[in-house]
Amino acid sequence: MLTVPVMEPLVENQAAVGDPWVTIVWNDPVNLMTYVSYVFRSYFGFPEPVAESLMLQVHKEGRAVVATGHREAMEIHVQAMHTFGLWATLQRSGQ
Amino acid sequence: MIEGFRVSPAGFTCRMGDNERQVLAQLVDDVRDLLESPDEPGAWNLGDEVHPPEDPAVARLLPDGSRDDAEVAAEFRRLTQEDLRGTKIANLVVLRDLLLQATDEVLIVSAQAATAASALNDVRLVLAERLDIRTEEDAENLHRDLRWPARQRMPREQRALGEVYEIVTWWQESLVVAMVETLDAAFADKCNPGVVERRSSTPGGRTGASDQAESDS
Repeated sequence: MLTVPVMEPLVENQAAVGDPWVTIVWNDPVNLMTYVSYVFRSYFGFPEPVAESLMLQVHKEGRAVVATGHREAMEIHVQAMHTFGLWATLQRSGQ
Repeated sequence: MIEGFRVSPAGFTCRMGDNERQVLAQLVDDVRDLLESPDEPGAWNLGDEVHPPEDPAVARLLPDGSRDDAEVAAEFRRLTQEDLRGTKIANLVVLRDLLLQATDEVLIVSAQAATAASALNDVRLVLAERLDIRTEEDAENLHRDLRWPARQRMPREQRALGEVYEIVTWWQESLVVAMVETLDAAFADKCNPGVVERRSSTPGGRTGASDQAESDS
């Protein structure tokens, strides 16, 4: 069976970010797995295996980090996730 | 009668009876009403103080931006809530209109697909909140209880709501599956730039970009 490696989430200007923040997507019982995967592919542009892997992480572990970078960028991603109906939050990375 | 979506030349289509279309359009409008309600304490804040919605269904559509940090959550809400509310209302209007404009076939053009899918998702979030679906177990229990004979014991209103939730869930799934098909096809095209895939045949069908100059009019 082919094992798909969990790939890095979207990193924005990591080298320049002194105080990195992350966007976390949380599991909920309403959102369809197909829909979550679709949002990850179409909004973040993740390739299909990456989107699937992150979606499964949300589903099984309850949450997944989908992006990291400046606070302002994370706020934009969180708002986008909320537009799609996914629950996402931002926090300092390493919290 | 309600069919699942399939990919079509303009986007995504499904056949749906008039009754079902009207019921769904009304449901979409009800969710829009919730978001637009002037009674909502958090409604239309233009000042510095932006309060979270009191209705848990609306709160699910406009959730917190932080789980643990009240300051981050408040700042996020101040920056984004009205914009997000406006976007969601606009999306619901698009979905309602395309349901009402349809005759025997509902057409969602490709450019509207994400909008329609998002609006549908918001409808499901509101229904789920009203059905007290908070965990995976709640969702599984509802699904089980809607089957015979358990459904006989369910209060009529809850049963009706539950059935609508299941239908809308199935319907959204069919749309998303079709949307993923087109994502996959677009990706395949990128990998094989020399190949133009004809996904559906139309009378006097086009064979590719070189036919763009041909006009049917």
